[in-house]
Amino acid sequence: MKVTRLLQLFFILSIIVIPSCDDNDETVEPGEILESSLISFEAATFSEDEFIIYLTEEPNGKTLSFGPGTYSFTNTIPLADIDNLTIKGSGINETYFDFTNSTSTTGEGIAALDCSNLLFCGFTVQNTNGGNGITARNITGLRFDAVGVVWPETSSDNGAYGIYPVESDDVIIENCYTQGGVDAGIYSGQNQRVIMRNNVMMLNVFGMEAENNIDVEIYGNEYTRNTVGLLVYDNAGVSRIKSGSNCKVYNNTFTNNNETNFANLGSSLAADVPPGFGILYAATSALEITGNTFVDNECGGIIGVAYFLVDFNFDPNADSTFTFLNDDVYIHDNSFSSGGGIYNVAGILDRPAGPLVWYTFALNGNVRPDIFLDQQDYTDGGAPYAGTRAVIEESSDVVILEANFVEAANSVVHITSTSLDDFAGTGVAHTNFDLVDTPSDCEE
Amino acid sequence: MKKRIFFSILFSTILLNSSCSLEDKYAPINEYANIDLSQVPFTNLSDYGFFTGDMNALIPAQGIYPYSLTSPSFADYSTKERFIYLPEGSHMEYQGDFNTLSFPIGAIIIKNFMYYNDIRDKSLGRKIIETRLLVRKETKWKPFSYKWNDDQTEAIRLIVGGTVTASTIAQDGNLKEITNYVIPRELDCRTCHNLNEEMTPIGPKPANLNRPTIDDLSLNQIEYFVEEGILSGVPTTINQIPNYLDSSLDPITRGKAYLDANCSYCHRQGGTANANGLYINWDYEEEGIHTGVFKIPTNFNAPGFQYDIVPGNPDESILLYRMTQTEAPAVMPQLSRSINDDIGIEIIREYILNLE
Repeated sequence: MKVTRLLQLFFILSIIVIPSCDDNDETVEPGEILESSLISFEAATFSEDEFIIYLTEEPNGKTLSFGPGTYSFTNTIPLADIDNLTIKGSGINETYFDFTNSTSTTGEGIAALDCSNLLFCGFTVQNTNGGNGITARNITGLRFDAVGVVWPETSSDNGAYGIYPVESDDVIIENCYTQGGVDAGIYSGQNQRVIMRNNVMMLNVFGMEAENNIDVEIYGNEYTRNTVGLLVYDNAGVSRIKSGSNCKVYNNTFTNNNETNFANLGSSLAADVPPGFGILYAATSALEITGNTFVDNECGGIIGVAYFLVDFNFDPNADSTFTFLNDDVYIHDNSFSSGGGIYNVAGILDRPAGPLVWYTFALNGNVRPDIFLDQQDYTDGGAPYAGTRAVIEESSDVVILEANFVEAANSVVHITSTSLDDFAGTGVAHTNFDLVDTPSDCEE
Repeated sequence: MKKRIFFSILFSTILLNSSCSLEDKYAPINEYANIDLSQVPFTNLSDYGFFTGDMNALIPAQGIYPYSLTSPSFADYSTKERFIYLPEGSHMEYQGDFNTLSFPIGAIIIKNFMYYNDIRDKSLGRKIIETRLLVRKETKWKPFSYKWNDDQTEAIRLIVGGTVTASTIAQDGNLKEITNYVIPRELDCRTCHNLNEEMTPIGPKPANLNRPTIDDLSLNQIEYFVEEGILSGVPTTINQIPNYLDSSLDPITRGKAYLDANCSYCHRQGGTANANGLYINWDYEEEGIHTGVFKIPTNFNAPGFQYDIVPGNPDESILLYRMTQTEAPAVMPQLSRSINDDIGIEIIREYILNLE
């Protein structure tokens, strides 16, 4: 079957050098629908140009299937204006799309734009030349199932993000593996209805980042040996979703996220963060964090700050639609454990926000917190920028440290609470949402 | 920042001189180029019948209208010669100064990329590299790409793109050697030609077309279209985005014109980079973070930088930094430039220096 299809293709190509197509010219023989929608490629005979021609001519409704092995690409794989497409490998550890020889000027592995019902499954993208592993913009119905994005070396030249869906609806990212992302292994930005579950992220700056989304569930993931495990925050000045909300982070494991930050010091938040946190959240609304296990994250399981610590020059009056403080954060029933001690002091002090963290710990008698919070009272020049305290329900041995970072730019920090009693209240629970599922036929 | 002042200088009447007609210049040598849309794309460019005589002279057949833009984008020092094909009896419609004209089904926008040996003296010869078509099919625009042969006698459809080498003596008198001119894959066209989830032409909007015709500097191009009966709904006055190469303009105006031509097709509301929230199209009138001023980029870590634009400080502005890069992922624009646009870099440097 696979060989036949390829022979057919070669035959066609040999007659018509450049196949032409027409919008209305769908020739599907009766009873052949399933067969003709499956196009198979083998590593030994793979031609990048043939693949690009398939994607150009009539990709709608196709399943493009790749056998085991390594497929070398010289440029980004472009997907545009496609309805219903599956790109399917033989397994996350079987099929590799390698971009070592790519001369793409975006540096991306796969770039999808304005599509619906896209499914990626069972392959690993590796060694993109400085861009994201898979970028997906404006997709309705998007699923990544058992997809890897890997940069084997921990280098500042790696791509920023492994899996990067943005401005999309109904996004599922599951059973994926990312390593080496210089910003985040898995990212979700300005999306509505997102589930990220059962993924493994290792040796990225952020393991995962959820930015300006509405309706998110993050569960069953393993964040191990990143600089920081998970970032949930809102970025100012973006487009589709100014202020994210309704994110639930539950039943994840955050282990030993203490790696020295390998991003170049620069313009991204990722470049600013010191190592040692399980979850960092900032400037977000309606975030519930529960049932997670935090092990040996040296600076604390959870740190929550206002946007001012992301950007000291931020003018809160610049965009009235942007919520720069955290609202309705509910942290409860998590498990924190640590072998104690802070191991990566050099790594912490190496980053802009590091000395602040370090200084605050020192103020607190070098007691490492499990939960480390910004008090969020940014009363400034008579303008009250006062946020709400998180509601926290944790066992009595959980160590809390809350500080007022108002004058943090001048290294003036006041510790405002170390008592769980100050965080009692009625937490706002996550609101369930209905995600339109893009079916996965990724099973072998 | 002084932003609104730019608009005050841009109103100009377009009905300047209607005594002259281009009828003779573009008179038909053969019959109307009736193109069967159902047969598009052809394998050979010559099959369209866009041009009469030797195809490489690019002399348009009847129904093919040449046009140019006030402020064309930089593409590795190539020269672009543009034409519009309209099915017989059809016409374009005005949709606003800064919106692409509405085209009838069957319309084709033809953009030829070439290198003159010396742009200062076109009689010294040229080499056409590629011709890109945007075809208005029944429901959407479709891109098709043609690479010219070495003999300059034919161009063959090329879906998968490629690279060529080229050289030209530019306006500054310096030899520019382009070792890696990229013919995009047809699928890449969408990256720039994209607005609100639809493929779209970029250049032919009235504020870009509001200039003299190519061959008769006394005749306004929009006026010419109206006279020819191929454009309707045009108001009496139209904004103009000026030519950023005009050194008599003030640095802010030049900078804005440059950003519009070279960046805004992605960096506008509804463009491909919509998510980033950077809007540097000419007609974006708001001030503040979306103009790039003190804006942290959403998905790019610029080493040693903080913001897209730091007013008064070009060397701390990511926008300028990315214009000086040629490698992934820092290079901007991402698809049309393999070497630096030296003049553009100076224009943007002056622009940022003069921002307050």
